[in-house]
Amino acid sequence: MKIAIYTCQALVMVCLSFLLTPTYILAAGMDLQVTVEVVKADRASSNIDPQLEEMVRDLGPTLNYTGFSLLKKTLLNLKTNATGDVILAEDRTLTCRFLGYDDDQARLEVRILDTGKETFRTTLLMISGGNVLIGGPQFEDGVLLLRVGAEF
Amino acid sequence: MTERCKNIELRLTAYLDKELSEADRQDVATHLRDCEECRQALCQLEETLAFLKQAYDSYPLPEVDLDQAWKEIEAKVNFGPSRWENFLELFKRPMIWGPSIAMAAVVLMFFVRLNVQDRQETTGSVAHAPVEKVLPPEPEQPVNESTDGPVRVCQVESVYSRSGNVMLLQTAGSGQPLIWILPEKKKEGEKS
Repeated sequence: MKIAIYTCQALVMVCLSFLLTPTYILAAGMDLQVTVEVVKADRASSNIDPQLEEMVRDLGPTLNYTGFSLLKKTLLNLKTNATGDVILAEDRTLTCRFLGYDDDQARLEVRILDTGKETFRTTLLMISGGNVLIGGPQFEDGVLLLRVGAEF
Repeated sequence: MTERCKNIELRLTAYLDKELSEADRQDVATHLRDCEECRQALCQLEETLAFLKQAYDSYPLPEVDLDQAWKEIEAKVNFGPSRWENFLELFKRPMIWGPSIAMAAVVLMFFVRLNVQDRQETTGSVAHAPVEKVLPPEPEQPVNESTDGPVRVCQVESVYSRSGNVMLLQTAGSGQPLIWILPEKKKEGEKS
């Protein structure tokens, strides 16, 4: 009889803990995998890197660029409040900081530093498998296009 | 010993305890006056009773809680409380009503949480951090006609640019956000 009572009590406590714990806390131990692709977009050429064909199709006529080349692809594994850096060209650095999970989304802070000074900052709510494009910084005869993706 | 003596001997104990009727007492008394054998039997009986009384008086009887004793007897005779009384008795114990209340709370919170999530989905009451730069309104989520609901995309919670000019666009295909940083505007008279 006592064993049955203790078992019921333990089951109730386990269920209670599970239901009361928000999803992002349960997922708090999971790392966030961030993929950063650094792409150069220009109008001087019409060469499209094969790895970027899907991105170019997705962009469609949004941007008026004809040439896309993949300069760098970096994978970052970030724990909560951890930071990962990706060196862009010309003393520019992209910094990603994982701020934690919010239900089924991951909050990610992305900054661009130019010679150590912040020129751009954004906070993104990423879904698993989703991407955000950040473009515009001048690079050589074109612009930089950064594709930030997340998996968790 | 005659038959009459045997009959008298059977009534001697009652005679000594004065439990005989008046007629029987007279009958025994009359026989004792005439029968030496029965008088000796009566003496032996008196001595035996006196010895027993002395023995009882030497050892005091233990005190007994009669009420408790009756309850125990009744419990044993009635084979304990009924099943319904046993069931009700369980809820008087914290080990039982504690987990029961906890389980009821778990079920209640489960349904409350479901209800809150449903309301948030229908009213879109998801809080966003304040936007540091004025941006065009969030683009509509693209609807895939082959599925029941809109395709989920990432969201931009806040944006800041030193140049002060940022555009928030949407890719034509999947509708993913596209943040475009415009260059700083050159001041008038500044060499290009």
